[in-house]
Amino acid sequence: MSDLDQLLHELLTPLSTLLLWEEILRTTDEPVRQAEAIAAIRASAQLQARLIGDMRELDRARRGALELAPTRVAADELVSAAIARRREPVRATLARDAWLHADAPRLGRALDRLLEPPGELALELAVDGEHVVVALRGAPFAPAIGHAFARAIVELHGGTLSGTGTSAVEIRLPRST
Amino acid sequence: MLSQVLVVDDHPLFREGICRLLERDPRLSVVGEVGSAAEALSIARTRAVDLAIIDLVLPIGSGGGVTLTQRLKQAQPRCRVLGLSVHDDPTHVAAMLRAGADGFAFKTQMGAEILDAIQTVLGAKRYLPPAIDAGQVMRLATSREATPLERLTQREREVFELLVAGESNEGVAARLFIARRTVETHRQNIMKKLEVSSIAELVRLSFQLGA
Repeated sequence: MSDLDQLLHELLTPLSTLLLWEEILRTTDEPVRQAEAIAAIRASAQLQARLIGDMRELDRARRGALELAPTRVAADELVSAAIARRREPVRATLARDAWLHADAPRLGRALDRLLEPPGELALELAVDGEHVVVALRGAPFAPAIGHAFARAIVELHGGTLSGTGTSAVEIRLPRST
Repeated sequence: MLSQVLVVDDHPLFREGICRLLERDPRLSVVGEVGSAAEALSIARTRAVDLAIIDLVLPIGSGGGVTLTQRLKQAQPRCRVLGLSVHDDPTHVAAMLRAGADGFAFKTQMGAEILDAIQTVLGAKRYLPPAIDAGQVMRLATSREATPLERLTQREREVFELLVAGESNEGVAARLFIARRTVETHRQNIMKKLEVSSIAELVRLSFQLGA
């Protein structure tokens, strides 16, 4: 499977889900099933729109055309918000007084993508000298559009993301004093 | 008698859609719907399954569709398997057939066609989508040339799966009761046979092969 196959897999998955539920919607008279199908179609379309949005931002980042809007951000608040958005719980240890000069919405989305793998995840936010470090452990982090997007956003902030394809991922970002 | 069907797909919304589709055929009963190979094998250990509908690409860590098909067929040889994927590459379809799948359908096919695929496979016939070159798939499926995973020995396959699941060399050694240096040797041989140079590439390959 080439990179293009990988990309197509991610884009075709919500599309096939949408087609399946569209057929269910079209061929049922039951209101409960109809409501279920409409919700599934909407969720699938939203997922595909999000993937396309990530690809667009990734492309802009790679072309140097993505402008960040950084502000002074408390890292623990940023990470806590991302954890709260995840459906499954995260075992988290968060250091206080870790500050970043960051585009909070974009970095938050990058964290969302890294928190996507299902199952139990452990997260540690720490300060290491001049860096703020976010270490994630859990299921292997598969190479995917969301992961590439997260890497691009982290790198635009002058940081690094290591560990793709393993069960541990680490983000290192310059600390704001 | 109702056919007991197991649905294995890591995308909950698609899996639920398939279950709704199955409800339309009174000859079918869903015995389980799960998102990983490990959960599927857990069900297969306690319940008889007449048909498993298996997504080719499953989450890394507990085996993909190809590996699950092999293991399910070992556990329950009479269980029929229908592979399902968005991928239309004959190589992937052939890999599922080589693993023991009785048919393959595309996720983008109409629901009625997927139900037809299910009944075809339950009727002990092979199902392949009309849009695929069945001749090419069967040539690949019956080729004597080993697929990348088939190049690995049984022990290398065990090491491969543990490494992909995120285990360190020490972890693999502990799990398999072998020396760390032995793991390192296996690891080098696996990398060489699969033509990859890092664990990240190994994970990617596993994902791609449905391993």
